[in-house]
Amino acid sequence: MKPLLQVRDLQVTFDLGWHGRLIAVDGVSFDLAHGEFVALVGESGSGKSTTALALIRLVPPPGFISGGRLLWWGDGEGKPVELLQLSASQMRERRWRDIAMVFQGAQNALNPVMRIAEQMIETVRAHHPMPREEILDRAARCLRMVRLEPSRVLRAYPHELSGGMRQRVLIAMSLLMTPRLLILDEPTTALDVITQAHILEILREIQEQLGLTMLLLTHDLAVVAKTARRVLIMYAGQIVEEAPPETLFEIPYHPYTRGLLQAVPTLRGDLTGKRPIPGAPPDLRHPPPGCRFHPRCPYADEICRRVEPALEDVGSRRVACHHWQRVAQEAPAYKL
Amino acid sequence: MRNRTLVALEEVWLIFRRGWLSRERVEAVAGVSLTIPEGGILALVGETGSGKTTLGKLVAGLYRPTRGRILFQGQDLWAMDRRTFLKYRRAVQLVHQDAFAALNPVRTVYQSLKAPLLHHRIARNEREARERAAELLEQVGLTPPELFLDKYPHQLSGGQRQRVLLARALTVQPCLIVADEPVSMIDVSLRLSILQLLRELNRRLGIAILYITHDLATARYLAEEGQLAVMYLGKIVEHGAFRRVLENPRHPYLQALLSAVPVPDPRIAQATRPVALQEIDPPDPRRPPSGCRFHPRCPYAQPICRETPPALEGPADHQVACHFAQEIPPWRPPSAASPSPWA
Repeated sequence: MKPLLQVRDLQVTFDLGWHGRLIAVDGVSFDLAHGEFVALVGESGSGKSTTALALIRLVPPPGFISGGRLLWWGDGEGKPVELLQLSASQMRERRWRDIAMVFQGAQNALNPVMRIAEQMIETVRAHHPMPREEILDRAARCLRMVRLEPSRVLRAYPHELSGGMRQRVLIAMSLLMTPRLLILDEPTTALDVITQAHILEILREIQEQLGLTMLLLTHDLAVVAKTARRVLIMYAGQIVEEAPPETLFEIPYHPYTRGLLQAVPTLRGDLTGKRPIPGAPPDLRHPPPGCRFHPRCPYADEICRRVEPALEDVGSRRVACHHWQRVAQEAPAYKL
Repeated sequence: MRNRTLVALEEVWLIFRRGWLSRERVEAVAGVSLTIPEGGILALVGETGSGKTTLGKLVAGLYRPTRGRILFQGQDLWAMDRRTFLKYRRAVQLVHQDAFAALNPVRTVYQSLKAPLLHHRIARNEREARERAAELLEQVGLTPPELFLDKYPHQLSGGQRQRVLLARALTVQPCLIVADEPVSMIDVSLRLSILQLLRELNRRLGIAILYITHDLATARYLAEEGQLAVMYLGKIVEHGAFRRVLENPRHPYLQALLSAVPVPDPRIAQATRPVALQEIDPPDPRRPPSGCRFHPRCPYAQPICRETPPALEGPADHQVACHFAQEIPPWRPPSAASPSPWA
């Protein structure tokens, strides 16, 4: 598959002054191919939001991108554009047009005293001069894609819409400039389960229809089982596993992935094997030596405490664990 | 019900008004009858705006019902004398979802636990209070207690703070804990440990639990042996023994909810489609629909649903509030030939 964006050794550092430095994203590498639906899964503090913000170069201070390359192949020429080399204004032009992002909790960031139509017009014009009618025409098409009635929604103020409708307005807004890559940060977290299920369906529909590349950030492994074609698992600022959901959920290679699957209660099936992951995620100002998961890992031994495992290719998957073979072997057998 | 009733709600209404001149009113709780047995677990499941948190506060005695009665061991909560009422407030402890907001940031764990111990004379002096506080921390799994007694809330993780909150609830030896979304702000990998702790408190100390959540899966983990009540826009739409209700969900809302819960198994997830509703979004709780409150979204709605609110009917272990509970097709969870061991 042709890559759209290649992320290489991305590192984001937060300078905390007296309190030292915190490396929130440490050596993250992955590819996003044209028209692919990828999920980035991690708990709070894992660095997934920071990674996403780095992709559009909007890491808030005191954070900054301290290393790595972002290779953008979306311009269709023989060689990629290095996004980190662009000037601030060149980057601004690309945001929304090439890479759009729906931020976490953004449904509450709509301007309360402005009708949706005006907000959409203002947003587009901030990036690109375009006549009102054309913007409204685009807006109507985008709103229909997210199953909203344009005639009603465009005239509405944000408080007249429910949380799920506002979230869909934002998704529609992100589509206005027909971006190649759409990043969604926890788009369904504050929403009801029923609304969440429909928004995920809508996202998949849009992704398939428009051939868009989507990167979905979530803490909920169950959500990605249906939507994503490839899943990246992040822990303590690093990617620890990458696999398509079919194989990831069947046989997790990384003990953290396995632990997460065991820690989440489900509606059906056996609950007796469910257990939390012991301990807590590390303080990234003082990450543990060796593998960052080792203090919580049942497989940890001497080598894990000393040597940081590299993210190695295993067939169509990637995993960063010294003992992944053992973890894979011990995956519970299917119960028929 | 195998046990005696601890708390009973009889046709409880709570109507909020915005100022005494305003006509705007919200029926946050609209005629709810429920019982919590001694030492039992009741999971109250509902989504944003369902009134589940308000119901929890009613049970904790923090709101006075507009209509209806709340009975504690047979006595009307709002007709009892002040001393009995204060005893009730001690017997029922509320645990919030935001443990950081619920703890005083300038008080150590010990200071937070000491105050109720001394106030209620459960401990006579500082030395006893410290001993008792240490015991409580051990009970909630914060061991060794010496490590935690003198810490401030900001020095603890989310899970540890939630444990401190539970320890504080335990200081007054409650017989009911109302836990309102106690795990929704905790890391996914640690949620189970808090649920396990609640289960242990229920089993070992016989404390009844009202578990309020939007998450059916965690409700199942905690309350599978207990009861389930599903709330929608102020009303209970389905109620009964947890297992029975989940095996055969009858209300279209519960069916839709179940079909929407994500499953951590790609094959099952691919085979699942959320029940098609007339409207994806819930209505504004300030303007609840007439008749059955679910009718504008319900795929089976008939004219009668617009006019008459259905009553909660059926045997005690499975009641449904739907005019067509017997007619609508049963909902079966989709299954893959070989489900993933995690699902």
